[in-house]
Amino acid sequence: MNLATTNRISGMIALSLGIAIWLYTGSFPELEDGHPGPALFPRLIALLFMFSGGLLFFIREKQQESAGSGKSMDWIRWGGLLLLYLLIPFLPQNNASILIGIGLAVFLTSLMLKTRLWVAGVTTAGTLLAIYWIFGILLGVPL
Amino acid sequence: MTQIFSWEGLAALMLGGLYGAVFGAIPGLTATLAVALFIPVAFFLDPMIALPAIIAISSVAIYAGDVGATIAKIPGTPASAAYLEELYNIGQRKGALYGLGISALGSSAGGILGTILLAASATGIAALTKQFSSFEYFWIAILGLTAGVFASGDSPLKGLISLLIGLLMATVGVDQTLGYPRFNFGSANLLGGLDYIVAMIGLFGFSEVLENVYQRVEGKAADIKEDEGSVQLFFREPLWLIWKRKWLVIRSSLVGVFVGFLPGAGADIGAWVSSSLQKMRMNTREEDTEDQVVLSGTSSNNAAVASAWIPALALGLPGDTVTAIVLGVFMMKGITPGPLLFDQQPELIWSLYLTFFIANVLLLPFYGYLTARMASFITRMPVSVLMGIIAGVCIIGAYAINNNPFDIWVMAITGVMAFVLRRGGFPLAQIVLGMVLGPILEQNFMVSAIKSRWDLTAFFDRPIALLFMLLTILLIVGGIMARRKFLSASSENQPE
Repeated sequence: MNLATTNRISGMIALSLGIAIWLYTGSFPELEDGHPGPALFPRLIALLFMFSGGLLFFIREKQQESAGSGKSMDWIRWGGLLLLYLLIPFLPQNNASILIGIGLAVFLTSLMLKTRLWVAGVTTAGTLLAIYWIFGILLGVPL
Repeated sequence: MTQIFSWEGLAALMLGGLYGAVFGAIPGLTATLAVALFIPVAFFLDPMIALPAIIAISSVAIYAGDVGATIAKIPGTPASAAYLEELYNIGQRKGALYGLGISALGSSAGGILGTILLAASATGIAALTKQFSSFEYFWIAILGLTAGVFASGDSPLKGLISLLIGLLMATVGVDQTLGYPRFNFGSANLLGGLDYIVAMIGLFGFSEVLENVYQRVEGKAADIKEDEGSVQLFFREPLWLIWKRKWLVIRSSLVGVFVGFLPGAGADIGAWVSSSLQKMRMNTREEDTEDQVVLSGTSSNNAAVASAWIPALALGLPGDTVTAIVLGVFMMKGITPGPLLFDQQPELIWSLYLTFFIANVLLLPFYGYLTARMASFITRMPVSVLMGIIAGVCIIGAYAINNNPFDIWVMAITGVMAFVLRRGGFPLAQIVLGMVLGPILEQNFMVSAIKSRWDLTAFFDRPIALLFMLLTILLIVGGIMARRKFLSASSENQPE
């Protein structure tokens, strides 16, 4: 996707976000004397989102292509990793050690980047030991 | 002050410097990321230990970003990219040790000048801010946000959108002035708002992991050739160059100090502005033209590292993302930055100045030489191993700050957001700036408005407030003019 298309999509998202914030904050209460209350700042932000989103949509800005464009992509691995991260908070919520989640994340991230199995294992063990020592023992964080 | 010279203080400095050196030397890992990953540890340490460590990390990591640039033409930090071509050429022409010598000692010289100006001006600015009311703080926040937009690189519009995202994130939770819950969508975890430190771990740490997985980056951080050298190449010749070009160092350091002072700009922008100015000034092809460009950029970026602390200490406003983290550490420890800090904790302030001196006079040359000698080893660390470790540190970092698993979601979601924004060319530092300045702006506006019974002309009555408003207008006009000049210059340079 080239930069102009990216900018158009980004502009459209910013514009939509501005409209959504404006509508959502409509339910916020006003102050007793009719002065704006907690909705004031979000609404100002919404207006600026609409303005800047509109500009980004219509104006062709001269800007260099972003660093990541044009390289090979892997959405499946990416999505899998993200899903793993989103599941990790359930471990401490269910009285399991967060270290299990951290170990899985380190191991799978290394593997996804094509590390050899034993290297991923050593990296995971080393990272877990360091985290346990620094946070669990030295800093007293319940892990 | 004695705590700096305790074994814990010295260990924090030495280990912080070593961590910054290794981290900065690895291509793709920034000084901000190094500090962001240090956050969870910093929160559990005494501020007198944590803050010197942060200073050592940021000062050394900014220099170490030049290691990859010199030997493999891969900038370790965005600041290094400002003079990448010149630094690499110097490395090829006269050896990597000479190039890194200019970088380390130039950084050191810039850092010392930045520290002198920090020590000289922060106390004065803090004394001045005792006169400030909510009106002045409101205009300072506006000035900071405006500077943040124009300091956002080649697209101020995208900088503005990033800033708005940060401001929006800052409105999540109970409204500070009126006590009304906003954008929490029924979640008790969001009532207290989004912790910007957790968000920063996602923005700078997790997004890096996602980017590498997405691009299927493999192999080593850099493949480089071995370099041989000596102390003379690293110390003597660069020192002679600094002495010969002392006015260049002073001028560039002053530029760095000015840029670093602006909220949201920081060392990276300082290096870009200063080295660009130096490139524009080069009319004749002197023998050491490239050396001068590098010297200009490196002295400017470390001067900016120090001066970014001026608004943080005196006003409680972040000069860059590193000082945004520092403000988080202050808040966590119950320390209120601002004018009272200078009266209540002078020991802490003087410790910070002293740490900057130690970092620039001793740590930079020491770790500079060490990293230059170990460059080939550091830059060969496999990316996959590195990203695995960063993934683990991101999770524990987000979790350990509040012992709340919910923060891991916040970190992951902000990481995804940063990943998407990066691909669209949106800057990330402006999000942090928005998150830090948002509450200051809103609270001071509401307090001022309620105080003046919604008579908005009161915002223009006080002379200092008026001065900040004029500065904001000047900044907008100057920013637009500079942008136009840049656009016309770049269209002239483009081939037909």
